[in-house]
Amino acid sequence: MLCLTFEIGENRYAINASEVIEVAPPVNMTTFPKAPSYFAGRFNFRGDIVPVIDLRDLLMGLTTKKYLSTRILVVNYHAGEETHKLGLLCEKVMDIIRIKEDELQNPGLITEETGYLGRLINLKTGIVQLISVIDLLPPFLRKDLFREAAGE
Amino acid sequence: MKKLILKLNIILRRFTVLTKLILIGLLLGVPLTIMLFINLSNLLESVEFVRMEKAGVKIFRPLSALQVHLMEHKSYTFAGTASGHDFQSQIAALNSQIKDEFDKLTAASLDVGELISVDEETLSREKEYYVAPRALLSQWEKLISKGRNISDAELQIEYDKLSNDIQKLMKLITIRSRLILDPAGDSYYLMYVAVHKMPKVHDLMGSSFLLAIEDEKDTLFNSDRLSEMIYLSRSLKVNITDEIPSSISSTIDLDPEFNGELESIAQTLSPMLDRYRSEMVSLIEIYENIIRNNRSYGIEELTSLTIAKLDQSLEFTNATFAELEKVLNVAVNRTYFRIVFRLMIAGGAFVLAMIFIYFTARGIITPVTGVAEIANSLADGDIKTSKERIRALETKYLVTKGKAEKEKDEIWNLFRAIRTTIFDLEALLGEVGKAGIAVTSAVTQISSSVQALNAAINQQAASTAEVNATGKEIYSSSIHLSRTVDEVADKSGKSLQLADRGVAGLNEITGSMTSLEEGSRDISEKLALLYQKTANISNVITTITKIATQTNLLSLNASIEAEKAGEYGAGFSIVASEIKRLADETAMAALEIEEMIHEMQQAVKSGVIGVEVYAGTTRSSAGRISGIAESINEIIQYTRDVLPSFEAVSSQMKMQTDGAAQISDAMSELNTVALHTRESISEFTEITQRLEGAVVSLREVVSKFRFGG
Amino acid sequence: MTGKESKCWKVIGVFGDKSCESLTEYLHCKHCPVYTSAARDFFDRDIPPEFIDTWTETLSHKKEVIEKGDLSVTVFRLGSEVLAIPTDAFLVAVEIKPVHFVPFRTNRTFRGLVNIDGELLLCFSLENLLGLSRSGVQESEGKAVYNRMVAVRGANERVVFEVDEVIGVTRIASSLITKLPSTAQKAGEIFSRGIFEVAGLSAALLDEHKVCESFRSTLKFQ
Repeated sequence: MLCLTFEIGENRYAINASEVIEVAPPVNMTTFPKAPSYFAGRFNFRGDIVPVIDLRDLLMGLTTKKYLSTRILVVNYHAGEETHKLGLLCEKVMDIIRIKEDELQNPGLITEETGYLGRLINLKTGIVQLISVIDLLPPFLRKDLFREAAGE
Repeated sequence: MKKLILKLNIILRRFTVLTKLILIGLLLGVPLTIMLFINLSNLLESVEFVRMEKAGVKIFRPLSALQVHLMEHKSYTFAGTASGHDFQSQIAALNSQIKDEFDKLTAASLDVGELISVDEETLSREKEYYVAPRALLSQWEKLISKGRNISDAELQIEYDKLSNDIQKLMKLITIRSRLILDPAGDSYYLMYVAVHKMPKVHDLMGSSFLLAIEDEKDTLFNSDRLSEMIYLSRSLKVNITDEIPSSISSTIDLDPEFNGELESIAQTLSPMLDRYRSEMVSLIEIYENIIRNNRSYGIEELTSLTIAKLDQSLEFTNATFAELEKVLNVAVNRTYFRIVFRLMIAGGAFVLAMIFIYFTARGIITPVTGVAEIANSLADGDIKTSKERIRALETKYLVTKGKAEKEKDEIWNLFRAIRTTIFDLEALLGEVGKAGIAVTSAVTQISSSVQALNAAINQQAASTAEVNATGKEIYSSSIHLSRTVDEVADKSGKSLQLADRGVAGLNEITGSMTSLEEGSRDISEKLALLYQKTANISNVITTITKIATQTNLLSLNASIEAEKAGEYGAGFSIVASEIKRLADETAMAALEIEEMIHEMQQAVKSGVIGVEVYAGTTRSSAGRISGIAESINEIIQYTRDVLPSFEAVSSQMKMQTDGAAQISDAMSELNTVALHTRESISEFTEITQRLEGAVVSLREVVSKFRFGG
Repeated sequence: MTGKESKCWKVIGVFGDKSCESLTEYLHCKHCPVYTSAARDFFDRDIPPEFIDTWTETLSHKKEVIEKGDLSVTVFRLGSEVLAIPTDAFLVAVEIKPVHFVPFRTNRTFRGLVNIDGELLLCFSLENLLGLSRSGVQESEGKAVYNRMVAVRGANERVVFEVDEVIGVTRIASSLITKLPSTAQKAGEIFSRGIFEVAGLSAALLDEHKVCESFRSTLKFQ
């Protein structure tokens, strides 16, 4: 399994590359009024309006700074039978690694709130945790978010 | 142009006819010899090339065998680990084979290593890293002694390092011995197979075998390894079924055109290749089955099968090398035959040319020597001997008297002309002798009357000279005085000029100091401008930053696209990882440039300060120099005031000198008239004496001739 | 001594005295994680604001979809001529590498040996074979043009030659290739399979077998 890794604070996370459509540089975004702070905004991705989630804000409550290493990962988001595009704002997206399925270990403590945190893998350079894209959004938002995006 | 040709003629006359003929022979012969030499050295060079190729083959053969045996050794070792089966006896046998090949390699490199510059000394001086044969042996011994004490991964690295070093040395030998550049078609294709294709085949076989047993060990057969396996087996198939057979058939086609006469390639190598190809195709089928996950062989069987095929490969390689050596030997022998043939033709031509020159020279020299002897005795005045020699030549070479109508030889015609001249001369000389005696007596009478006149004139000249001498003395003393005054005035003038020049020089220095000061101010301004400009360079960093970021993005997206392409993306994922490395290097370059710009700004800043200090020093030196110039100017003014009084004295002295000179001139004129008269008389005396002398010498000349009976 | 603070690649690495022990493992600093990590640190800085505007603009456009033909060709430029070779026969394009002169063999067409990815290949001059001139090339403004060496595969041999620019790979419909009349006499026409149009340029599709064969024949004894 090919994975894209990135860093939030001291921790390293990974996302399955097969779900990634494109790695994009940071861009200007229009914000969601009155949305939770981890919604960074929306932007025009090759003709589609794509909502963006700030992963650093979601995981640690701190806004992602716009550095040269900041990236928007545009991923496929499967909401029911429909597939949408979702942007994930994160820092230090620098490496692509190959992970073997049988090397993954269970993470132990997972709260309901952090259900998107997946299994762990122990690499020479440290521990990397997989992130499940589907669980990033709370269930009630999954359909509404894209209806709004599509409507505009 | 005509003068030049004449001069050349004069120079050429210094040599004898024989020397000239030999010279012409040399002029024609030397360029021909040089051309022959160049031709032969080209051929010798071809021989040298073939010798280098042979040397290359000699060292290459054990290296090639080592490559195969090392592969086999590695295969046994890792197959043993994978299956648990012990291949001790096979490994022991292989160890001794490897030892043998190392002995051959060391012997071959001692023997011919120096010829193609792969001996230890040359390799140690190479810029790039190469391992000499002896060092390879110690590397191998180290590998064996480490044996099972180290992990599989480390052992793998040791094997790879040794086999890489062997292949690197093989490649070096290929270059140094020019194996790949053989101009003859047949040997080129043989080498292409033995040196280029077969090592590749060995390498592919080893790699696919290792991959296959690794796969056996680890049931997960992931896409990376699968695509590599597919690549290896396809490459192997292309080499075995297409490239090697077509190269061998090219060899057989081209052989008659180049080195020819070697039927053994078609008779031995072709059937061997057919057998080898069918064996290999069966092996490739096994691998293709493994790719389809259809295993019909266990590790042990696969090992012994693969190693048997590797041995056959080596056998085929050796057979190819054997044919190659035969072809190279034929090439050397042919070239030597050409050299001997050309030398023989050249030698024959040289001998013929020498014989022809000898006979031509003899035909000219004999009559010319005879004529020269006759002329020599005529020069001595010995007409008697001359006539004897003429008669001797006439009888010896049967020369016809008078003009010869049919004979065209210029030299014999010259001989006839000389004979006529000598007979005529003898008659003329008799007449001259008689006339001389009459003239002598008349001259003696004239001579005595002239001597009396001469004595009277001499007396008048002596008295005039006395008066003249006194006038000259007065004149010279007044001139002397006048000169002394002039000298004093002149020297004062000169010192004035020198002082002027000094002031001008100082003014120039002051001028240059000022322009120096201006220049440093200018530099200082430019440096300040430069300092401003370096700030602008920072914009470049922004551009590079953009490129680095875009490249990084590209590398990530390329890897993702490659993964999506699945099996077809295998090649593309290599490109993606190259782009990733490029992105890292671009980022590093941007960092370094940023640092350099910072350093540059610091350097410019310290430059500005340095220039300002320098300008200050220049200003103070300029001030000191203009002070010196002022004091010199004062001295000049003082000297200028004294000068006019000297000039007054000088003009008075000149008037006195002119008076004395007028007296002296008048006396000199008188003296000159007397001298002219005396000179006329002595001229006349001289002419009379000359006439007398001429008559005497005429008589002497005539008396010199000895007339024969 | 190792570490990105001390810039070890300049001290003991390949840009220094090469004494670093890790070099036996990585061969070159650019494969070493210390170096890579130092390079990555470069990206930990603020983005110039105009970048974000540019990227916003770029990302809002749809990707172009390229029409597909049935034949893939690699197009390159030699002097003012635009030439192409089937991508199947095209092995690799690399930057210009030194050509090793070979005494008594190097001539107008054969230039010597060149090392391409560790293999020694024969290097030739395509312009001399085709009788073209490489001078008189106008460089397009604002666009860097790189001379390249390309390796091409014939029936039995692989050869290398220099070109002025590798323009790119494109797919064309083989029905749109105009065959040349069999009476063609110019060198450039003898070696080509036909002419096609690409991006407004007229390009000659070379026959790689004929080209390689002719290169090879210049190596024989004169």
